[in-house]
Amino acid sequence: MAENGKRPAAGLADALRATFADCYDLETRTIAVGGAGGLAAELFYLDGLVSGGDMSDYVLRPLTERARFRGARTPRAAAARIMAGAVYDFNARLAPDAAAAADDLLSGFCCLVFADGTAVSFEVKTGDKRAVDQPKEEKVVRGSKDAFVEVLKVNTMLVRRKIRDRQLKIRALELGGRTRTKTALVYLEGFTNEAVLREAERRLRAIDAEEVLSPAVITENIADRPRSLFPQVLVTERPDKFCLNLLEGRVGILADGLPMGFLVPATFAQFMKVPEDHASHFLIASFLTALRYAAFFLALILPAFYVAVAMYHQEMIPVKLLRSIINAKQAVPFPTAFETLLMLFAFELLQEAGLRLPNPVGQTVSIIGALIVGQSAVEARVVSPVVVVVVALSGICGYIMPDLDMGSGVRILRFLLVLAAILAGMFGVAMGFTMIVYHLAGLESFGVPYMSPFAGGEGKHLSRALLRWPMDRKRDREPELRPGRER
Amino acid sequence: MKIRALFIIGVALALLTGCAGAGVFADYREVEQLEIIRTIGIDKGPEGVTVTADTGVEEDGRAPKLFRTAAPTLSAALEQLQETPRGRRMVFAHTEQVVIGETAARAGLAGYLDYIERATEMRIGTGVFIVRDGTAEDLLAACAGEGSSAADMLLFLKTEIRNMGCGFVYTCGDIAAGLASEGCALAQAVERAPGETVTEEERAMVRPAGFAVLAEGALAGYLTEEESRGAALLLGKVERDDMTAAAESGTAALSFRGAGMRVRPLFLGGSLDRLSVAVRTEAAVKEASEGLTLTAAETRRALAQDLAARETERAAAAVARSQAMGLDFLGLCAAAERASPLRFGALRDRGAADIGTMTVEVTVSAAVRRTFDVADPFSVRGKGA
Amino acid sequence: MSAIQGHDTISERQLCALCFAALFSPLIRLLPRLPAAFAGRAAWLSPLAAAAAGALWLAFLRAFLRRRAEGEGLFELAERCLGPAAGRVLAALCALWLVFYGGVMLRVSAERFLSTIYANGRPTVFIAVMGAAAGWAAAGGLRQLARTAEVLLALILLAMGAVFLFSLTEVEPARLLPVKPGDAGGILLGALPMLDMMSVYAYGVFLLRYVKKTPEEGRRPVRWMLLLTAAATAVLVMTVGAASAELVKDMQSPFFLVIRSIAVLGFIERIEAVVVGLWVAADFLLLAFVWLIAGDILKLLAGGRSRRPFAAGAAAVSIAAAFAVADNAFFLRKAAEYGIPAVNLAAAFVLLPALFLVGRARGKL
Repeated sequence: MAENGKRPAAGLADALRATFADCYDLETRTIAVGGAGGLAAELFYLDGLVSGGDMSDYVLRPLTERARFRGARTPRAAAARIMAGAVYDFNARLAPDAAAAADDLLSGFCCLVFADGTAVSFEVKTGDKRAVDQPKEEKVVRGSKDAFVEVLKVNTMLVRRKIRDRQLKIRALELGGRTRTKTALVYLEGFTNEAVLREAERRLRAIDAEEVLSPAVITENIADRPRSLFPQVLVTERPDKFCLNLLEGRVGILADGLPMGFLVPATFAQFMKVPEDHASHFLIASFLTALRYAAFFLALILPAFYVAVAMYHQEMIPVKLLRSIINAKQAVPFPTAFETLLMLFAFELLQEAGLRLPNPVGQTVSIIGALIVGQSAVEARVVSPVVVVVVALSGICGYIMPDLDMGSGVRILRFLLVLAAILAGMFGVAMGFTMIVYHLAGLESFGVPYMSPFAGGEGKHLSRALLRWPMDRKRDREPELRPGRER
Repeated sequence: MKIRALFIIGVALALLTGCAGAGVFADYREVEQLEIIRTIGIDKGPEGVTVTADTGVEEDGRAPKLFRTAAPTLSAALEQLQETPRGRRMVFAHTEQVVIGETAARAGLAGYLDYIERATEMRIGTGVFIVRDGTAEDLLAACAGEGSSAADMLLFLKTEIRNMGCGFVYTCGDIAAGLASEGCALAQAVERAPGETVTEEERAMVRPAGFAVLAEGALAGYLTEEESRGAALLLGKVERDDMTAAAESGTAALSFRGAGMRVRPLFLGGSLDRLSVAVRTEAAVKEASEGLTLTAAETRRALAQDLAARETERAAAAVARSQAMGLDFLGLCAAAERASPLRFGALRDRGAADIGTMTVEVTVSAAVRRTFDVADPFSVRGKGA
Repeated sequence: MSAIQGHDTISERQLCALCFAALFSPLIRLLPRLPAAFAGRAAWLSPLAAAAAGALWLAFLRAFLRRRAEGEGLFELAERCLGPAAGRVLAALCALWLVFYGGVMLRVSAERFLSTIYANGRPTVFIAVMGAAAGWAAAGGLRQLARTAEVLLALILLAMGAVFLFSLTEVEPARLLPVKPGDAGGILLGALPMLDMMSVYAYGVFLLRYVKKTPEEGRRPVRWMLLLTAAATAVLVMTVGAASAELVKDMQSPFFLVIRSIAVLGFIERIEAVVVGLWVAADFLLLAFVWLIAGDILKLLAGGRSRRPFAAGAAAVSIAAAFAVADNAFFLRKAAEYGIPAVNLAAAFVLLPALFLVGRARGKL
């Protein structure tokens, strides 16, 4: 009970109650600051967002100790004592109005409101969050095994642990009208191109969305050409990959609630790299990088190439293989075009089914689907074995893509190329491929040509895209990023 | 964006009109509708050309299919084969060899080469065979059976003939180029041979029958086996050949290969004296008779000399034949021109380089370089001998 | 950077890549038939002869273009040298020629498909599809087209290198030698097709208005010319060495005829379908390049703000011309091998030097 036996006056407290009306998780506790007979105050918090233990130990206990507040007769004096350290809590701030206080409550603070409307917020966020775990999508055999989580502070901690540089800056923004998601712009001052940084911030601030609950809200809003099938923002769940790119001069974006980091500018060559390249011998890493490019090409072209050859250019197939294909296809009732499209479609269905189902079941479905559908389809003479091999090989090559978005783009494009092959054979495939290259050549990411260093530069740093040079060789930053420092 | 979209729509509309026509669909065919033809046989017939198409042995070892037709021209005959409804379309893209009967070859094969050059399905790298004393139709039919076909035999011959030392399979392009530049060319001749009886069914086989000489687009004659071997040596087409050579202490079976000829025109007083043709061969000992002392240099020298003498005879025979026919099918003049572009080249340009009247000196040198592991043959008479 | 360049700015390297990639289309048309017809066995020396003449021409071009101001291309230079009226007339004639040239090249590329891998097809689809695609690109940005050229050029060169390697086993030195002094005349005549290809760069000078001027401008084309010489020599060695000059001189597409016999490690045969497909890229780049330049000239003549409608219009007229021109391959061959190179050679080796001389005489350079 307060000194004069009264409750704190209406005003800020009532405003808070009004704001959180119909919110069962709003809790309040009336206390006397400085112990019995002290100043009346009401403690507001949102149950679930706060840690009860922290609140009790670091807020309530010191607040109720008479010695700490001896001589503080007014709420302002008490607030001054609190801000001077009378309360242990590591993060305390004055809430100037009800809106600020409400925001603090929503951010995991508890808010002490005095009778005269003076309010102080204490950070007592709950520690309930997903632990830092291994990456699910970007697995490596050798290298660090931590991945981003949904909590921004943890993610920034992961970055700071890897780059203990005073130049590392983390600029905070708030995105999403409703979700008001805390977002951080991460960069290395002096390394990152200022124009890119400014543009990244401008595009982020220009996002007109109510929520930032999915990565697409960020990627599609800041990409130069969001309608393109090719990703223009590098998304990663790995802090080491995130930091490597920051050190290259890229701008990173972390958003609360999203267990991933976004990096811009992004180029095609970036999507072919994996962090494990830096863990392997440089020759092996270079070989694997070349393999990925070959896999990209095969994933895109192989089904269309097969259709073109099987329908129009059979002279390319050696006689023995051609005879084998002819024998296998004798009893198949469908034309080559249809069976290829059918198998591609079936492959997509299996892939989606494998993703949607729970892990153990999903893997089983994928294996059974591949075996039963593929095997049975061949035995039932619905499709010929060659088509199954071609589609499976193309699919496997697609999985070699380090980036999920790039792989997804390829999945759609290969359908289009198959259609082009059906209509016009090798001419159609070549024309389709040329137009894909033309489209890629027109993409830019924050002023950086998407196809650099293959195009748009001076051609000097081509090897950087294809090879991984030994670590003891002097390494310059990618000139296309126009970094503040070359080395 | 609007301009580009309008542009595309305009073109698309144009495509939808009657202008589009067949487009590329005329070339579309399903794989299972194809009948792959591996070999074509061409003979002279009453109607003009008789064509026999051979599919080669099927994948499961079934006998090859043979198709026969006759028409005034080769293209008409092939078209006729297509038009006969069989439920399958004949594809000549995998035709690896063309077999021409002797009569057809004597009548002239320029038209056939012209067709092959023009046809988009066929290639100028197709091998050409001339059937000696026979027709292509008979040869293909006689060799056809379960697990065997002339097409497969000829394909085997194409890759293995260099290891037989008796010939070389020239392609349509080679023959056309030779006829265009020198007016003559060589082609591989084959003949029907009795088969090896393994089962009750006796099937014929194909064997090489030396070189056929073509002049002015037609068959002019054949080289004998010795002349063919000599020609193959001079032309550098011998990867491996076998011969038995003799020395004082015994005989040895030698396996040798040739290095191709080096031709030098020798001038005397401003005019051509002779052409010097030199060929180097190197041999290895495959089999030695008892007592032959291979470790002795004189023995090896003697063997080499014997080999060289016999090969010189063969090469000289080939050259003599070339001179007798007045046809430089060995390319001696072209080789001499490469060796002496100015002087001999001037002769050729004037038309004064006539192989028929030149003196040609042929020398084959040989050396026994190695044996296969065993040096001297082991003794069979025990230690006391 | 001048306001003219804006978002279409490219580097000299990109311009060279675009020109070089585009000339792979005429390279296959003109080589190796014409040098083989003129020089016989010695045809493989024609590119080297052309390189000597080409080096001189590039040296002249460097001296000419050193006098250009930032943002100036051949249109502005023509106006400066000849006066506004005469310069614009000349530019207009160039634009008209490029539209006609594009139409013939489109028809030639369609004919190539019919004579190699689509024997039963008709040119309509090829003309329409290629025309639409290249027209789309011509109406787009120069920078995008130049970058496309950089990527596709690498693929074309890679494929050519592989084809050349695999074809070496078919090459017989006896078909390439000997070379005699008497062959000199034929070698020089055989160099003309190469010089015709270099004229593509002459048209590229129109696009210099989008290239930032540097002190080293003009050196890079020499390197590209050497690469062109190497590529042309390789093509000639491959075709004449494998098929002989006597056959090659009568063939329409000897390069593709020869590669029909190439097998890749026994698992792919007759790769001409793939190589012909790859030449789609070269045709695409040549046509887009030519129509983009024509569109640019027309835009400048009309005082328009955007090049797009003019480039699209040029492409549309070219496509119509492609349907109309040469309904038989014989006339087409004559036009493509003699008529067009004559005009191109005149433009590059007569007109440009004349422009320079007039400009100097009038004190404008």
